[in-house]
Amino acid sequence: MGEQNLLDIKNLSVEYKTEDGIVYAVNELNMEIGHKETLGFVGETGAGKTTTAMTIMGLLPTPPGKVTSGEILFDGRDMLKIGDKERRGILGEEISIIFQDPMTSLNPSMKVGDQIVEMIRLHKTISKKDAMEEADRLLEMVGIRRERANDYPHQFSGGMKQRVVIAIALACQPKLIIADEPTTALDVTIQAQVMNLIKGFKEKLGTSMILITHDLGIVAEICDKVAIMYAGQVVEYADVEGIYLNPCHPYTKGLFNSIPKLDTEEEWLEEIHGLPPEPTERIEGCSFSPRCPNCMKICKHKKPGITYIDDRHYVRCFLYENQEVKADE
Amino acid sequence: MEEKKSRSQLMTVLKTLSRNKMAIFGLIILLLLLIMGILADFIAPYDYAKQDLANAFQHPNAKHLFGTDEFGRDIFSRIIYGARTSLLVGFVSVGIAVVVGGALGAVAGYYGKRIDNFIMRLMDVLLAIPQTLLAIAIVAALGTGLTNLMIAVGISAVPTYARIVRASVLTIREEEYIEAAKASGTTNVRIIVRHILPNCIAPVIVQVTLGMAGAILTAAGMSFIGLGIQPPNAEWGNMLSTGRDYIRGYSYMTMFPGLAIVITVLSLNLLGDGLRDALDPKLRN
Amino acid sequence: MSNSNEKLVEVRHLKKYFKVSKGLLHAVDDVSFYINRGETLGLVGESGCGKSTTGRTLIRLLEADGGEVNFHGENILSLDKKQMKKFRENVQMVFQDPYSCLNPRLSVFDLIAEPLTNMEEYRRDKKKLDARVRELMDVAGLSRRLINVYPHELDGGRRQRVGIARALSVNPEFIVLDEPVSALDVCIQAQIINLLKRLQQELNLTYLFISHDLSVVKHISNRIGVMYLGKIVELSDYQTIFASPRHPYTKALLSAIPIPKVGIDRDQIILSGDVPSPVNLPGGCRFAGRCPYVTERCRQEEPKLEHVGGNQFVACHLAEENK
Repeated sequence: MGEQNLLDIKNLSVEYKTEDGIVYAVNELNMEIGHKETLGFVGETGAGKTTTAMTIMGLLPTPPGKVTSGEILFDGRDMLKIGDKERRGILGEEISIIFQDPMTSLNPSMKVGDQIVEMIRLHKTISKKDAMEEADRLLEMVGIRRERANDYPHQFSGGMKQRVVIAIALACQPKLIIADEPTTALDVTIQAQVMNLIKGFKEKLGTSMILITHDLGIVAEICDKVAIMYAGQVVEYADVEGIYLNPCHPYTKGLFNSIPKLDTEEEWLEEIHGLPPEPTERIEGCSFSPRCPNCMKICKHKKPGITYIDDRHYVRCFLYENQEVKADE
Repeated sequence: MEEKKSRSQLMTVLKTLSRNKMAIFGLIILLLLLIMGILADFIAPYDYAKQDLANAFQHPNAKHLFGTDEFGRDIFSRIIYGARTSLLVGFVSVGIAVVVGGALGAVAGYYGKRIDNFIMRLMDVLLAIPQTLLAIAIVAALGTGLTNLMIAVGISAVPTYARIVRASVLTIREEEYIEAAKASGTTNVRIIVRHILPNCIAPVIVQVTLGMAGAILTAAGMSFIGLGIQPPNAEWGNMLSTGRDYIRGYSYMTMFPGLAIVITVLSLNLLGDGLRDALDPKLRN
Repeated sequence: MSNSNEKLVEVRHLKKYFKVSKGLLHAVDDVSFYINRGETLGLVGESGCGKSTTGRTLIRLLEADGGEVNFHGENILSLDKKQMKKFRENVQMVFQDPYSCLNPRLSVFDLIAEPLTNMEEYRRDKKKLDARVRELMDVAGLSRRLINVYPHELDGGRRQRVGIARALSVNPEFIVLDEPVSALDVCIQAQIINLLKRLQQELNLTYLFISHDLSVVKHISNRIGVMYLGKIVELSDYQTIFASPRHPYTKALLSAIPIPKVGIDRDQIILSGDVPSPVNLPGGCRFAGRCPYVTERCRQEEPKLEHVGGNQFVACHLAEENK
């Protein structure tokens, strides 16, 4: 192993107080991402991906949110324990975020160029002229003509707005970018353009990225590692080949089987029966057990711990617990 | 098979409202006023019109809680009957405005184009005249008295509700469930009544509480200048008016009706604000 | 999958325009296709291509500006109110957004019953109505426990089932489905797609399935039409579209779909630029501005949808030349 991870999340638990009870959004989450690595963070609505992202950034509204356990080590510092001033220095400069909806993440009454400049000058002491030059350069890097720096967001299409958002995120050359479903709201051909762009600058700048998505196709294209999330926990974590060639967790397998495939013909899609648990529900045993086709007796009473399939692939599932024991022998 | 108990949106709204202490305070005051108004005949210690010149100009005492006016009439009783009048004016005039204005706004918003234009220009004409002046003009034409007062205040408020309902209808009209209703073969009238109007209620309810406050104030104002309810009928506005002449030595004659107006209007405003908060985010679901 | 050659729905030169401040928006511009009974025609394209507008104009939720829509041979665009009522019992629609296609103030029962209450027999007989609603809930896979529940208490998948139950209530022959699974998570999507397929087989339904998601469309359609800026640019059976697409836009669309597999090397066609505005379009082929194979002829002359062999129709000068 050796090299220290850029981001290390250990046993993170986050809950929300709502009218209907306590929502256990994140439950003992473990995740890591190294330098220059892209992690795909996959899960369905309500799995807790966005809550995790918000907690990493310290943007979780507290109340009603509350971190009840765990630590988030970014480059050695615990993001949960640092003060506001230190956090403000990190956000935007070392960690940036790209939100899903470009319509609402840009200020509609500010010129696009000015928004990039604002980000730059927040973190670097640099003259306005130099900052504007830098902003123009960034716009070109994301494929927008520099003359458009004087336009307002409403004058851009959805895809171009998202490129502007990416330019802002890149402005201070962060070590880590968190992209929350960055292309979900875009058309397929525009999505391809934006993904291409992201691939390009990733290689050029060596930025790490957490890509939150439900699209397994995008993950295959761009990610090095994958974390599959269900009911607030990472149920499977591996590098991308591991997940696609050897998916272990029944939920992961179910996800893959649910996608209509372009290259094969199938009469019926395989369904995972039932629905994800209500956010306020506390299930005894494994949270996937009510829906799992391989559910065993022990799954209903005990929560599975982390089992390592090999040193780059772990799973939370009793089906594999014995295997690890065998590997140790 | 047991049917799942559902929590309709109404209950969610009531639950949120119950957490707003100010709004509940306003609601309680209003309920008290309502009870006062309904049970006036049983609560009031004296007949509101009974004159007792020998006991005129009495300061508040044990026999007359709020004192007596220039004709010896018990002010406390007159305040109670005044509550009935004020609330009646509030409910009925706003009721007229909601029904007439709402219908006009719904038709204008749903059918659009020329009908919309025609109706809204009509509303603009009404809106161009300040509400109180309009009410005065109508009363001047119809004559004074409770009924005419209610009609006058009601008509002057019609454009406000027409606008509110029309704005809601314009938004809701574009919702997919309206398209779904059309695809189901539902007639236009039924769509308006069953699908659109129930979803317009929220902003109307908020306006109603605030509108009632306005109606009561307008009515009091009109009575104050002699165009509304005439004495010996008890109405807080005309009590203020007649008490004005004696404010030097007998300030209680204006203080109590004044306070009554203030408390009523304040309660309605508090309730209205609370309702607005309770209804708004819930409807965004 | 299709068991007849009866053309249940035939659309000819359908047009729908919108007046906007900048000019005329050609949402649907001379679109023609047919759907056989029991068949599913998939209509794909990106935002602004006109597929949703086509669906809505087809069933007269929007009034067309030109063309014909023949249902059982009769042009429904010229039906009067009374005849339209009958039409509405034969043709229904399932909407995209399960969060906005259900009136938040009505219970599941009321929502499903709505189309039925427009029919005499159910208005008079409450018992019959109740029984029918419960039956429909079973068919759509909704637990009967939920009959008095409100939409905001249901998740997206269940809401969509309510929409489907509602559409099925009047025993329609033809259903227009406008992005019925786009707003749903992958696992729920699979459930709903399977449900729709099963219902089609059991009830011999004909579908117009509108979606931007090609993999979903391929799974459920017999034939697929690709739309771009208000026109159909390619129309073919589902295998041919994927195996040998002829229109450059179709090719680009297919290559843009991310594939959930590792270790695949493929040449992605990345289109340059954005989709142009459908207002005040330039002459010539609408795809000319982004087409990697554009020629001068393309900029001047608009290609027509031509038969290029088998079951395949393409609107492209180059495809025509390479017949």
